[in-house]
Amino acid sequence: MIDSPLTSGTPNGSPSEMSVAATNASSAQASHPAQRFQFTGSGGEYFRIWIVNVLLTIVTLGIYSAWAKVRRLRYFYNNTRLAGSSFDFRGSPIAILKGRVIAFLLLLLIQVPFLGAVVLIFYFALLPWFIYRSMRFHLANTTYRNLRFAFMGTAGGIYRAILFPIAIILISVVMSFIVHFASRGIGSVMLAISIFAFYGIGPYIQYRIRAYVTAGSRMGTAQFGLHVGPGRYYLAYVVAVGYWIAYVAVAFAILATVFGLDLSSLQGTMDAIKEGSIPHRVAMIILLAVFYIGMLAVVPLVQGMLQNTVWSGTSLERKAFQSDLRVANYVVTWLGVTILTVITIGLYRPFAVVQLARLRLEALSWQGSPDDLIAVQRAGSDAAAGAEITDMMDVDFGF
Amino acid sequence: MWTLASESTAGDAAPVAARYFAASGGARARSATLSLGDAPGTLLLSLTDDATTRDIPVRELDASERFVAATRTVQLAGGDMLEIDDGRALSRLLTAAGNPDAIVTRWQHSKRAALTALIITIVLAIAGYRWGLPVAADFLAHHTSNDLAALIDRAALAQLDHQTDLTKSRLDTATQDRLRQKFSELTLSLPPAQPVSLVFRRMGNVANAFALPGGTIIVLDGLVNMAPNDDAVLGVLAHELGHVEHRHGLRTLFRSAAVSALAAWYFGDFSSLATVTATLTQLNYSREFEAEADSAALLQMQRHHIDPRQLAELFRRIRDQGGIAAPPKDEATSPEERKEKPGKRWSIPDFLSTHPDIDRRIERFERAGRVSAGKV
Repeated sequence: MIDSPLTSGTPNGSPSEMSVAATNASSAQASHPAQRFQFTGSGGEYFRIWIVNVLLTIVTLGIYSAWAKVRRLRYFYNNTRLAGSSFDFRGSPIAILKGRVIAFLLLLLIQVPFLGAVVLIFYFALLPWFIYRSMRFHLANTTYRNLRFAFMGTAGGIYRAILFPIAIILISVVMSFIVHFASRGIGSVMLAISIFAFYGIGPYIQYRIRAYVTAGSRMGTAQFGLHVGPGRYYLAYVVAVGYWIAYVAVAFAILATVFGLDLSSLQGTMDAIKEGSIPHRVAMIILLAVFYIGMLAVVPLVQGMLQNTVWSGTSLERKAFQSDLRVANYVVTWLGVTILTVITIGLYRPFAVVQLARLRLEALSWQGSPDDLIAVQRAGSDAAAGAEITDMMDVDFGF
Repeated sequence: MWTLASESTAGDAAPVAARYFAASGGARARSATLSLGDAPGTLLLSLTDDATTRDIPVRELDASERFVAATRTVQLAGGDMLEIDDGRALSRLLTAAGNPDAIVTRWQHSKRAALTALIITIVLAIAGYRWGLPVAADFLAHHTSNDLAALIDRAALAQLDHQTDLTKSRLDTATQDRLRQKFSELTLSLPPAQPVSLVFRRMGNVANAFALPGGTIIVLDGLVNMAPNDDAVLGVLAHELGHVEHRHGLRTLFRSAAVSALAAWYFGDFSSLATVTATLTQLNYSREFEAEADSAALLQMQRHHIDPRQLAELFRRIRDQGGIAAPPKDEATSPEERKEKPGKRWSIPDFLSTHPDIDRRIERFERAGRVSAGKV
């Protein structure tokens, strides 16, 4: 679930998964240019790795998937270069396998009636802890120039990041019910505000998690810093929601006036499709498909905008990162590769992942200089990672 | 089947340029060269800036996998590390020192091998879906405890009661008791390990009956109303008991669960898994399962002297009336209501659904009836 930043360019990856692992390099004494990230992977090569992974995973009834994951991560890390060096992932497949066995057992338990509901509640209660473990595992096993990354955040930290906003919502809902007894009007207004806040708190939680992850990340003795506030997260979502509303309104109007399709009624739409000749039906279905794909554009839109603002607001050793991803280009590419992935029943996926990873990684640069890097000492993160590395378990699942 | 191109012969193991990062201190890269050592199975590491050299047994180092353009890393025993840009040259060197690329690595680099993997994967996926999945699901179904199956039934029934327009039966108690009595006689000859129960429900005039995985059989009022007599109802019950006896519900459930799980893994979207049990109530048995249940029903009817021709008559009525009995006056629904759910009201019952060949089944029960009548 929490892959490191280097692999987060998948169609499913959200910007919050861009952890801070991708970091590094030279220094910003104005005198030398920023160090740009480079990605040297190719879709064809990754396809070969992927298909072998899929086959071996099938043949071993899923056991190989842990080794497959290490191969995949190493492919993306080793192909990501900064200031002449590449990243590496040294995680043990056995640790990943342990996590997957637990995930599999949980999945089975959740299917059991009644007991499943209880397990699901426990799962959600433990989800932040899983995220925390996953961060530790991934950063402790990520290296660059023989420097280990480390995650110094605490388990309590992530619960605070998530539970504090949720608690405020809960208290507000309870209060509205209490007030409701005294005054129906005020109670109802408060309840409406609470419900609105429930949906509105999402970007804030995402920001808190990002702040938690960035503040806890180290590369050797080098520290990361986050210098953007939650406002940037809200801006991205406001733009995305604005796009969505405008898109749906315009699309509804065009479909209704030009093609006579009333999308507000499913039955009406079905009837409209059933009427007429075969070419007419095909045209209607394609029209609808294009309409739904257009709605999907909010996903890469948020990803792209967040990558730019969040990475541009992140620093390593007080030297800033810069992200200049062209968001429109990213959205179009994302839509294109997603359509191809669907059409090919997933066979295009490795190409899609590589294309998106390249766009996102090569948009990144770091203002530091090679000298800044040399000043970084190993000691910082080795001590943190310590003996735990060997017995650490990767917990990487989510629904 | 395919050839894995060997990367090298010992002769061309030329020295490789590397960047050396020490185990302690800063992240300064030092220029180095890695070459074949004098002793077999060793490599020689020379640092350019201070002319020191180091012999390294090849089994003490841990090289990252070779990719086409990626920089490779080599971990040395003491925590030092090398970075090498020319991955092919490193593979040649390692091969010469007795540590060639892993088979999987060579496999990944061969276009032909990757194509073979693609074809095998597709064949396996189709074969696994066609044969492997049923075998595995059947195994699981036969090893599921009755308690777990009963839990599934309770959940499914609760879901049906809440989320569909299933209502309480309006059959009078005398009819229910009589059918229950006959049903329990019918179940006496079943293997005793399998618990079964009979539940009456109503869904308008829909004539239907279905078996849940754990042995709960639901009979809708419409079926009882349409049946020419109790024997026809018992015939349907015997058919449903056949599904229970052969664990068709669990087998179908596990099959669809496995398909969902594999799809989730392949597409990387696990959200669909949470809904597996939701599809429980929409189980559709395969034609093979229906035929098996028919055979079991015939056997049961013979044993209990129930005339299969009554069941054939019930099937005929359902076929001729499109799935529902002529509604008694008090139950007639308004035209609007009927318009809303045309599919549901006129659907073919589950126990007939997977059969485009209702006629053949009617014929089968007719023939069986004539044969047993002839014997008597």
